Amino acid sequence: MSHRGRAEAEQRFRLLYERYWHRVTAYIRRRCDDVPTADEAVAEVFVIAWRRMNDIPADRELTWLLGVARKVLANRRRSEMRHKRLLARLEHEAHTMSNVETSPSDMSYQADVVRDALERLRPVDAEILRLVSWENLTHAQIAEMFGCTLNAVGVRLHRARQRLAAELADHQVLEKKAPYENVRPSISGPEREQWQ
Amino acid sequence: MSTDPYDEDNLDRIVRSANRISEAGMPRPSESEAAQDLYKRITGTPYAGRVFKSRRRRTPALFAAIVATVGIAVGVAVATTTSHTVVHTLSVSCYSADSLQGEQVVVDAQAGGPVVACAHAWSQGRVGTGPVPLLAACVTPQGVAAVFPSAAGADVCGQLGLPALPAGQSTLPVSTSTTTTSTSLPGTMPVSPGQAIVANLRAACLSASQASAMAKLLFAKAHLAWTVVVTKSFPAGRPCASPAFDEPLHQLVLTGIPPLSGMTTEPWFLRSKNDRAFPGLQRCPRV
Repeated sequence: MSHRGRAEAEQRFRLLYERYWHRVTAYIRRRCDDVPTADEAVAEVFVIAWRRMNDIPADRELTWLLGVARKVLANRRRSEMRHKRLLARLEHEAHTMSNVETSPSDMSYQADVVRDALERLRPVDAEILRLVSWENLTHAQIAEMFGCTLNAVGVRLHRARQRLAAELADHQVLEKKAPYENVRPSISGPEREQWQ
Repeated sequence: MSTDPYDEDNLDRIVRSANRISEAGMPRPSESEAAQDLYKRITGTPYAGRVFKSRRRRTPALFAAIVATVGIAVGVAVATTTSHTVVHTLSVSCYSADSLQGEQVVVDAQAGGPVVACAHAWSQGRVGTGPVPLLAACVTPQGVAAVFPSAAGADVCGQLGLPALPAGQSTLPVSTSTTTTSTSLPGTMPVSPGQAIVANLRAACLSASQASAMAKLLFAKAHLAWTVVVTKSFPAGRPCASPAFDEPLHQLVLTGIPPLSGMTTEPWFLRSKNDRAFPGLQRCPRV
């Protein structure tokens, strides 16, 4: 690479890094509990980006980076880190169980339940829901990331929402329990059982 | 209180509440030693990105010193600047206020010019909040294109002691006369509908109906469910449509502004059919 070519590549990479490092880091940390592992994944994403600067579409930089991050995380899940992540998850679940006993209506409990429900969905369903609600990606950006049509994203998202809603309903999550007990403490019989 | 988990908005709120990592709380590379170390490991050169200003740490004395320094620098620049040439052709500094002390965001240069590049960044909320303001492009003494929000008729560049970027001068090293930006801007580089709308409305003075038709066509081509809203009829002195993108509501709001320098009066869709190419709006491959 010529000096000028390298300077231009470095300038573009610097802009890319400045704009998206925090978004890529947030994306990975939302999906990886272990901070050192997450940091390694972030590094891997940007090393790939540096090597493949010419392949990154100028108007799709974020979705390109998140697509790489998704693959990096998937590869890591299949590698030796699987065992460590499993341990971390077991610890996390133990923590969740303690929360259930102490503060069932707490927001952190609700968040844990929702995250667990997402884990039970098919990976692609969970991912599309996270991309919308956590990464604030538009349908068009998700379509770019998955390489599918906007219509396909709409359909997939609708189905994913239905499946998550079913999971949450099965788990009797959210307001169905505590708030209604507070508002209507005197109800009894079958009507009360409905909220148990 | 909404308790229906099947309600889409409610469900999205629930999923959002399960997000443990807030993006607003994430440091930027200039605030993170780990990020800067990583950058150095990857590129082999130290990170020299945007310097974020922390208002909490800024003391009045330091602030006064900065103001004085910038004032002197601007004075020197006024006295010595003779060149209107952009040296740094790949990036543009977009300022959030008509001041050199305002927050700035560095963005990639676009063939449409610095104003188009910054208008796009504004529309994405990366420079400031609210609708895209009227923008003015100047050149810093370092040869960087700097774009500031401006009031209609105001000489922002003059007030800051900077030379204005000559009309039609692009930061990118390609031919981009003002009469061709609306159609040749995409060239071989795909653009989003938002970029294309901004570029078209920067290049030509379109009425509300013309701008609305153009925007609807571009949204339709991209299969985006955006609506176009014209707040009220444009007053006599502000005949040209200016775009503001309301991302949460998926609305493009059109307001009237005075004609900008370099605008043509001939809308792109009245030109030959060969000019109507909008690369970047191609459909996704089916899966």
